[in-house]
Amino acid sequence: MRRVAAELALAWRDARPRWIGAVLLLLLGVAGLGAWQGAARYAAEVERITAAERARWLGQDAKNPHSADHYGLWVFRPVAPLAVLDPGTGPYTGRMVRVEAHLFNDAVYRAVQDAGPLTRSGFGSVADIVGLVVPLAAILLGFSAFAADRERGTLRLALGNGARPGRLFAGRFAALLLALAALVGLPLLALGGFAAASVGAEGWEVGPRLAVWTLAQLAYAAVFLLIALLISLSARTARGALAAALAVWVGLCVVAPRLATAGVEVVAPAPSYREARARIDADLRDHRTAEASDAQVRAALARYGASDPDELPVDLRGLTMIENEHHAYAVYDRELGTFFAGLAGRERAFGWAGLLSPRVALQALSQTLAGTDFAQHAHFVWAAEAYRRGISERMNAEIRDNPQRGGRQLVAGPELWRAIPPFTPAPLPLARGLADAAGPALALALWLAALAALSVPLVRRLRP
Amino acid sequence: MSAPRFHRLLRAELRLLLREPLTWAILAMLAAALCLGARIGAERVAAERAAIAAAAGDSTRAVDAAKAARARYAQPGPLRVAYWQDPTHAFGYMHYFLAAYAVKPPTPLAALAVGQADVQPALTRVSFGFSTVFDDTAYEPGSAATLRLGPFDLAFVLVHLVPLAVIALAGTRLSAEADAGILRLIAAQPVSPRAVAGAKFGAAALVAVGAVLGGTALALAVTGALGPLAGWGTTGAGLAAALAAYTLFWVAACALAASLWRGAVAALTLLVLAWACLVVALPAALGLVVDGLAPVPSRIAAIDASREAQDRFYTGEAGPRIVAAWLAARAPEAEAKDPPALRDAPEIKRLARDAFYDAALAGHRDALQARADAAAAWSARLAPLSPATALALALETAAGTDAGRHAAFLAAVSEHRRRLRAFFEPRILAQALRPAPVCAGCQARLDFDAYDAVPAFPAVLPAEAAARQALLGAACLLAAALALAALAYRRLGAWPA
Repeated sequence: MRRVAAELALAWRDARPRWIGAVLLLLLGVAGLGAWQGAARYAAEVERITAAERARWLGQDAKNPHSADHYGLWVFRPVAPLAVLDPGTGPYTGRMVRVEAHLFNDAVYRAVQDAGPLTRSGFGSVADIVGLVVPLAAILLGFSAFAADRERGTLRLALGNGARPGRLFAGRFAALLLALAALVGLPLLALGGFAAASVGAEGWEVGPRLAVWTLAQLAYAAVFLLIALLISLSARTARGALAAALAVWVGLCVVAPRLATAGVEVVAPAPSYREARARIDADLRDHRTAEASDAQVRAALARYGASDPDELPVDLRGLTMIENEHHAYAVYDRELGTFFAGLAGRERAFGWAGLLSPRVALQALSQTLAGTDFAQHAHFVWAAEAYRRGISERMNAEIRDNPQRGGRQLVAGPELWRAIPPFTPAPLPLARGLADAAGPALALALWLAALAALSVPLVRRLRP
Repeated sequence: MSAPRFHRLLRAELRLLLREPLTWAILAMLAAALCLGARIGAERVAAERAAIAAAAGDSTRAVDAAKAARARYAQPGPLRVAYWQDPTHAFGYMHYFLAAYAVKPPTPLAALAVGQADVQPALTRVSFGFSTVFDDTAYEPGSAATLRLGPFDLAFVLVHLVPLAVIALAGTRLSAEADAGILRLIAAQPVSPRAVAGAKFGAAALVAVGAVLGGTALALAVTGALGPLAGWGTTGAGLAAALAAYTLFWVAACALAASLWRGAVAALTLLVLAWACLVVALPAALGLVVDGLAPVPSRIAAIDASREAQDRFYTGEAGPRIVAAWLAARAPEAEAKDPPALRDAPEIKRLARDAFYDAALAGHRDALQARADAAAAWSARLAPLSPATALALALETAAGTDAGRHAAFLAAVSEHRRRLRAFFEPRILAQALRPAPVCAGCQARLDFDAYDAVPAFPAVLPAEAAARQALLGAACLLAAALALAALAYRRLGAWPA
């Protein structure tokens, strides 16, 4: 510990960590506060319109329940408090769903479609800064750890005085990691805590989420610190170490992630949403024709042994609507269930693509822990669909169970509208996130383990 | 130094450069990256063309299905065909049969850049429902991880990787000689530092420009990524000039870094950091500026407005009044018929309601369209501030995947929706005013069959905009390259002490 403290004091005497810390703080602060402002505004808007939608639903005029089903409402994806740190898939997925009769609507209006064309350079969020700039910070902190001493000749002195290379390496690594943890971890914890306190964190298990998320970011930083130290161990000059470490940064943080997208496309091609929708449309279209409706009516009458709809103990229109909806549910479940499963599989493949680049591993791990991954989005979409089906079932049952004779239409009122509870989406629990994060976490751990293993021979061969 | 001597020096440097294995390794990696980028672009364009063909097929299928149903129902029978199942009912056809698509066809150079194409759809089905508050509602959900990391397309290779290849190729010229002590020997010869630097960086520029232009052309040819280029010659030439200027800019940056005389490693470090700033950080900063200059109007406020309008229509007596007013304005002759029955007709109520919604949402839609136009315009204005964004915008505009084209596409979709409504509305009204059956006892109305007369979406290829942006990008990049080269030339007036 004394050695770590001494190395830490030595590192702190250098102006570099202070400069790095100041730049990081500035970048993280600007990105974090910008994201917080957007999240707080969105959360306030969602709260206001959700209350307005509920009031509109309850305040409907008396009308046929099927008209109320068509009237429907909009539901909105809640903000994950840690989206301020890592928006994850959020900007690329729809945030609001129109809940209405017959239709499994897409979640629409993605933040990315409203973003300017220049904002997609991968530098806009706290997570992007951690992904791109923190490795640079780690490299700038660590590149000179041994190479500068070698250049000055102080490494010869240290080794000559009996300093053991392993301890020297471990002490420097621990000191720089502590410095990095202070420069990166503390601002992230502060931003996350602030976001949790101000955006609303009910059900999100923010405390443990934030702790695990920050640990993942530090593990990522440690990977690049190790890379910088390992290069520094063998480089002749500090400048040579810096140049090599920068080349590795470009390779791992800029080039490899794009290559990973190409690789994943080959290994796990994206399912086509357009084709899934076309199959759904074709199936439902065949079910909607006049001939199909006629056959359905005749089958229903035969089932009840009736020759006229007025002889039925139930309302024919309500009965056929329920049957039609159940058919549509099955089609949606089959086609969109397969589509969502395909996308989830592709996201999992990205976790393993983390073996190609720690940045890819971190992206998959970070968004899962922050609660902004695809699984959370799919959970919201299906929760909205379950809510829609609940409304349709209730409205159609009301029609079916109150048969109207002679072409009259059933008219329902506020009592029926009140029977529909408000939409209260709950996030997936952290335990599910931790299970989903196993792949990318393992990939990141493998990077750390491989670099640690590589350090053993390099430390052993350390020459002044 | 005389021109022949300089040419001899240049040829010698060229020979030296081409003899280095590192040069060929860099060029091979660049060629591989270009081929991969072109192939990914070609696959995306092929998928886009297939989707557009499928949409055209769907439109044809819808017309064929309507014609077949019309033939089926054109005879007396017991079958009851509701209006929404009847393709000979103009309103039924418009809402439940018509498959009208607005398409943004790929340009011949579409494989160059994914641009906004991975987040903004190349085709959209024109919808008349009020669920779609905006015309850009439909999209194709895909892998968010892919979108977040970005595609490995030609634009990525040209904008991000070409500078790195140039830095690897030319970043240590002159400064490596200084580190090795050879510079003293060179300086002892009767040759100026400008001539030496000119020959070294000139050779690197020749190799880099040749490799980038040749490699790109080869990659596009090998992968079959190019479409028919008739009418796109100026754009192609402009892009080639922009690409050459961009490469020269980075060669000039290498010369400038060498002129600092701080050694090879410092030059490399400086160049990589300059690359990070110009290619990654500056575009992001410009993006923030664009977002500040063209703030996004609230989608939720528009949804709220749509729901308020819906609420107004369906609550109390407002709805019937709106329908009556709409009917009186569109069909004054309706007063002579049976107005209450007409006002209760589902198609009349629906048309009146949609017109009411359109009016209620016009402000929100206009604001969003104005914002899309403003964001595209500001991006185009600010793009020349960074060489990377200048080239990227030129590539995206040539590929037809830029934000400006999409903003224009959305405006065209709105216009097409209005055009289709204008086509169907008088026909629906006419049917409502004359409900007499064409054929007694037939199962359907049978008085609408103008399926082939429905207006098609006028798809456009933005050849002029692409040519303009390519030439503008080339001019900006050439100016930047010349400025850097002039700076380096000035600093290389004397050998270091």
